Amino acid sequence: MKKVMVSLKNVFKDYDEKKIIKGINLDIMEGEFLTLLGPSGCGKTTLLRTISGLEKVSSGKIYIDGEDVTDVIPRKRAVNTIFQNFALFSHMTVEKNIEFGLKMKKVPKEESRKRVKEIIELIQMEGFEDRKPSQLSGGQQQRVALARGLVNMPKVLLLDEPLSSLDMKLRKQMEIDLQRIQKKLGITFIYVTHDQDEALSMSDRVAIINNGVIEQIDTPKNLYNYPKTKFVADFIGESNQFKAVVVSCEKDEAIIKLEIDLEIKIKNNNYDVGENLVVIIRPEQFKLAKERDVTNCFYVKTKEHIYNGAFTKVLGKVAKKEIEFIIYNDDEYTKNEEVKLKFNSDDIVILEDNDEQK
Amino acid sequence: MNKNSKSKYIYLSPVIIYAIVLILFPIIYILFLSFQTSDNYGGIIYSLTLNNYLKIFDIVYLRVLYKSACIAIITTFICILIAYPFSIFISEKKANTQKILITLVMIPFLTNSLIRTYGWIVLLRKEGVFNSVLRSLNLIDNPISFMYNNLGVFIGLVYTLLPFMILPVYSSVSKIDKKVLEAAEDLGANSYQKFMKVILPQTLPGIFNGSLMVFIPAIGMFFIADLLGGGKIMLIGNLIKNQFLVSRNWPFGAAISIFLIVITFILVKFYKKSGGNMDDLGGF
Repeated sequence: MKKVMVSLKNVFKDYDEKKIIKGINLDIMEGEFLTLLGPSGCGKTTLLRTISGLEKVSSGKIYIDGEDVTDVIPRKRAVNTIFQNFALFSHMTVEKNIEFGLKMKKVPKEESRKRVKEIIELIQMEGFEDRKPSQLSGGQQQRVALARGLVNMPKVLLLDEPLSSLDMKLRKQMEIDLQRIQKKLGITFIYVTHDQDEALSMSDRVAIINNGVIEQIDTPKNLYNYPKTKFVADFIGESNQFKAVVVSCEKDEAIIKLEIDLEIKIKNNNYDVGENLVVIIRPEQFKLAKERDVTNCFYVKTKEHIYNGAFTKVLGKVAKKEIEFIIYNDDEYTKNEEVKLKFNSDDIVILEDNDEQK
Repeated sequence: MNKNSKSKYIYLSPVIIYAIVLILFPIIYILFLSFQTSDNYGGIIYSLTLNNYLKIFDIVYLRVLYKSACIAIITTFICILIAYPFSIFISEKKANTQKILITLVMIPFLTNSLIRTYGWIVLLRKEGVFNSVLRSLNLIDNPISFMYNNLGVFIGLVYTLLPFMILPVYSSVSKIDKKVLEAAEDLGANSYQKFMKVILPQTLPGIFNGSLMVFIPAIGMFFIADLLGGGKIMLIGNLIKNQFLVSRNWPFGAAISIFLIVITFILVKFYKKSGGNMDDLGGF
């Protein structure tokens, strides 16, 4: 069992009466790659800054490696931060930028030189030591920022949307590099992003944050396959959400009626007749049905399609409800056509609809 | 020449004419004068001589140069010491407050600096405001000599030239990215290290720019030395003024002027060489 590296206990943060973080409890393991994922303004960056100490919590406790650091100033914490726009020292060379943290920590010259050399090798920036940040490309600046944050070997590295200013291709490359470096050094990474692709592809676990609270925290796979709230289902990947109502219950099975006028059989999970549910079906969980299929089938009128190379995303309509599904063979599609779709009722996610205010 | 660039020159013509008539011609005339000789009555004898320039290196005048340079350097230094913390103080305020404070710095420019210098006399003289207040508070028995000495000149120069230091320094201080300071803090820098390693190096261009804008006028501000120094203190500015208005030796005055211009060019060249950006010198 690995030990807990960072622990947040009931953390609150207000700005002038405005509550940004509303009671977050979170344990992050040693060597874990954890992502805080959420829409902009959800409080994820603020949460990260409370861990680095650049932001003070309004109430609650923060522990790093078992030590209470709630009132410890940033430079005394064993964490380093990678900032969104790199925040490199523009008047210093690459080498001096990386060396900065070691100098501040008064690491002996010999040792310092060795570590700078190692880390420059790690980020594959040999030969650029004497360049100024303005002479580097965005990706290179990002590498230098990463090296500068890692050179002190912090227990935890905090990354605040570090890839957001890079272009798509570079981002994919950096995602791979980040994972490689993290696994190699075994440092705990806490990564903030609003980009679900980044979150899903790199993280060991992802915490979905919305309105200052954690909606769900789990592995990327579980978040996608078993979302616990409508927000998570909506935020992670594409989803079709159907309102449904329980029609009848038996011992093991229940029959529910979807808003598209379709009755399906599901496992009974202590449902009551008349209870409101939400059914979540991912676009790729719909299959084109054969003539003879009868259960969990319905007809959709196709409206639009988005060709995506390997697959085609189709927008269809059934009983005024927009539905998204995916077909893998472009030839099967024609516009304004009735298509018969089916799905497997074991794959779909069923949530209680407790969203009364809607 | 195509039509476009022709019309560009038409639009620019007032500025070009202004610059040629009021700036370029006088400088050329001064340059021309500096190679002439003066007769005993202030007339100009047309000749071609370097005597005026050689005369600058006379020990009497070298002393004036030396004293001027000292006073200008000290003035510049005092201006940096005041302007720097002040700029940091302003840059930490909200954006609107910053604008108001900077406008307040600019407002004295609306009044002629000669009049403002007379204002200082009212404050500083023996029966002036400062001495009266100090005496009525029984803090002093005899009035303090605030003026007609070096102190008066420093007060006048620093007061008049401080905005020229504040504006460029503020402009460079406010350009520092807050995130960069946080990064320094995050990497273990304490406040002193943060200042020495990050803030100071990034604001050096602003300081140099301000120094140039303070140092050069400080050498030449003759009326402050006259009014607040009581005529006892001779700066290059006074020397030039005296050559033109008192000694009526225009060629020698012209030579000193050219000498000053050359020094200015050397300083700017030095600034450029040490990595300064010429745009920073132009505006704020």
